[in-house]
Amino acid sequence: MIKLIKSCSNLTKETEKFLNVSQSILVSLDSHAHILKLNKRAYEVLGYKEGTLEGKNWLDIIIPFSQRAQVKQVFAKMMSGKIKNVEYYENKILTKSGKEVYIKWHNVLEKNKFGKIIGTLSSGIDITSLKNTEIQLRDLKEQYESLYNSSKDAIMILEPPTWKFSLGNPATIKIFNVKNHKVFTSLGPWDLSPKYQPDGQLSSVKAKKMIDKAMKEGSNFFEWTHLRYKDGEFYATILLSKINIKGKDMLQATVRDITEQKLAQDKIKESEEKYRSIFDNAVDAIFIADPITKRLLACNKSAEILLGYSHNELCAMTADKLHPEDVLKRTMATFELQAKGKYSQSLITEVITKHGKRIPVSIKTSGYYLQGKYFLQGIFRDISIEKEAEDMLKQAYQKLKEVDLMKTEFLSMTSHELKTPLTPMRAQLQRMLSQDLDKSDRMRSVEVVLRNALRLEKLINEVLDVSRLESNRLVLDLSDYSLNQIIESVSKYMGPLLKERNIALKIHPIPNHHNYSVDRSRIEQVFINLIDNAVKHSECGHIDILARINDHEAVISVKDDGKGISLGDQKQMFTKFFRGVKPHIGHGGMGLGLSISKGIIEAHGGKMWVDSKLGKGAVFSFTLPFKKRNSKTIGFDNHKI
Amino acid sequence: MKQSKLILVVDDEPDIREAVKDVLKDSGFEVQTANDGKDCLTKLKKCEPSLILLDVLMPGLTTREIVEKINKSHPLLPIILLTVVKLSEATKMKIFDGNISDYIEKPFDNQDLVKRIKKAMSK
Repeated sequence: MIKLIKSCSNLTKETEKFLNVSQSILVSLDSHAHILKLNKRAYEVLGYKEGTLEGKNWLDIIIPFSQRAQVKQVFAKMMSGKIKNVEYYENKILTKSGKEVYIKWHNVLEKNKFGKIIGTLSSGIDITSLKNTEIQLRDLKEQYESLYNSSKDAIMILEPPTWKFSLGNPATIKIFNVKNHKVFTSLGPWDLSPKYQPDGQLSSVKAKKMIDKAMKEGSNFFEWTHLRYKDGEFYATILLSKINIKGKDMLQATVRDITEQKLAQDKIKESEEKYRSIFDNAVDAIFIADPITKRLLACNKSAEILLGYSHNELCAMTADKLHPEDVLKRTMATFELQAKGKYSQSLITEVITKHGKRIPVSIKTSGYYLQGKYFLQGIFRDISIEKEAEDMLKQAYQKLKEVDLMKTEFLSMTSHELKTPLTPMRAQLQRMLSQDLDKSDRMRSVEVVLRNALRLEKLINEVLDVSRLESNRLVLDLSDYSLNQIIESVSKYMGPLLKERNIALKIHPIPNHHNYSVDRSRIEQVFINLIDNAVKHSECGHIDILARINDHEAVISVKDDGKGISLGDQKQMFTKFFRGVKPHIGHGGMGLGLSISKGIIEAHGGKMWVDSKLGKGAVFSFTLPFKKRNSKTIGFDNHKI
Repeated sequence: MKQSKLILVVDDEPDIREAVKDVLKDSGFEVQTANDGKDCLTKLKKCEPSLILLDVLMPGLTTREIVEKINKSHPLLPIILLTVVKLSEATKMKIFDGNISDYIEKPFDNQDLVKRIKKAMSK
């Protein structure tokens, strides 16, 4: 083309037409870089109107400022003949619209007939898109190199047929702990793996399988246990990608050390398993609930057992359905408090099971965040046993308090009862000592002393009886007697008192004349006590002694027509120290008589009870079995204390 | 010197009642007896005792009721309580509010009983 231009220095219309068809830019400059001629294509690229640039300075108008100095220098050197070989040159030109276009030039120097350089003839082609691609490619290469060199992942090439490493980035050297690249490329994947993989496969066999898969499918991603060169194992992920370099298929491997990740994952997994195990196997019922909707989101096995619902049933319920109506408000107040993120103390309340059973529980609630969402956890502990034990303890304590009170009363009563007969004894004895009493006065004093001494003896015997019965030490002196014998002697003994009080005692006929194996004095004691009670407490006029035969025993009753006993008093009558509604000293004694009598009858294998209505008298009855008893020592029911 | 003043002895225990009566008669007192609170108040209407010896804890009226009634009808009449129970000062104050001359515990010493009766009567 240049030659063609050269040969046509005197352009004819024909040649100009020809030049204008060219898709190259044709530029003719004089030695000062003034434009002599531009073809049509040049005007098209530069965006100027044809024929407007001739005579203008090419360097000043067309060369962009950034390259102007450099191009000017080259042009000057060309003109001075200092550079001869500038046939090909690349530079940017500036279009009228300000766009820069990359042009590759082919330059020819114009000389006059004396050989002096007078200008240039240049033909250029637009290589802008080519140039851009080249730049992109260069950048890409740089980026890739940087990636390859600075990557923390080991990147390597494996080449068939040996599948040894043929290339490795710096990370490869570091990860596998090899001395240098040369050493690395002398090894294959199996040299940097333990003998076996965690699944039990031989590393060499498995590695081959993985390579085959990658070659077949194009890529293969898997986990691998590697070995640092002459060092320990590490966990890695490997991406094998099939690549083709210069027509040859090979593999690029990217190895990432995931030891830390793996350990962290294992730790998380372990702690998850631990928590899951604690949650599942906890003796306490554990619920997870949504603080807003109150929906139960999860629960453990103990929760199902406690409430009798299945897991699915529970997880379809709201927290308020777990409690009976009457404790709901109080219980849910704690829930609300915790739902608002406020601390709430553990709560003693009740749950209601699927079958309507109420169970006392202690609940400890806590709130926690999981992935930005707030949850409530409730730990429910069944405190039935504790509650029961507490109730039992309370009852036992109450009982003990009552017993203690009774003991205190007993002591105060005992001292009272002992001091009462002692008072006249002391006064009369002092009188006898301090002065000469006449005979009748002295006799009267002695009688008082004797009577009260007997009373003291009786009291002391009662206390001893109670003590014997309580400790199962009451010894019965058993012999065979008929009831008539005993009742007759009692009647005789009580005669004077009954006469004094003007009370009639009627003994009804005893049906059969059985003999009973009894301690006579003890059974007499029971009769005397019952009659004495009627005389002293019932304000009666008549006392009847009745007996009937019932199966294998006799039922004996002492009946009075006195004021009767209230139902409440009847229940306590046989309790020690009980002395009726208005206890008073003197008449009542210590209230031991009935409990001793009951103890004596029970020791004989019988029972004792009372029937009465207020205003309608009272009937004290006891049974005596016919059968001969073997045991001679027996106590009375300690639970009745 | 023997005193000839009348003392009313109130006790539901006949032997105690009689023993006190004997002791007081030995010391020259005249004695009337009553076997409970009600009896005591009846006897008070019939005689003019210089002192009342009153048992604590008798059937019927409570000691407090008896003391109140006596104080009302005979404001100046000294009352000595005979008791087997040891009462604390606080209890004495609380129950009888200073209307009691003395407390004598049973069993008592005969001479001490007479001495304290005389002391109460001399006030």
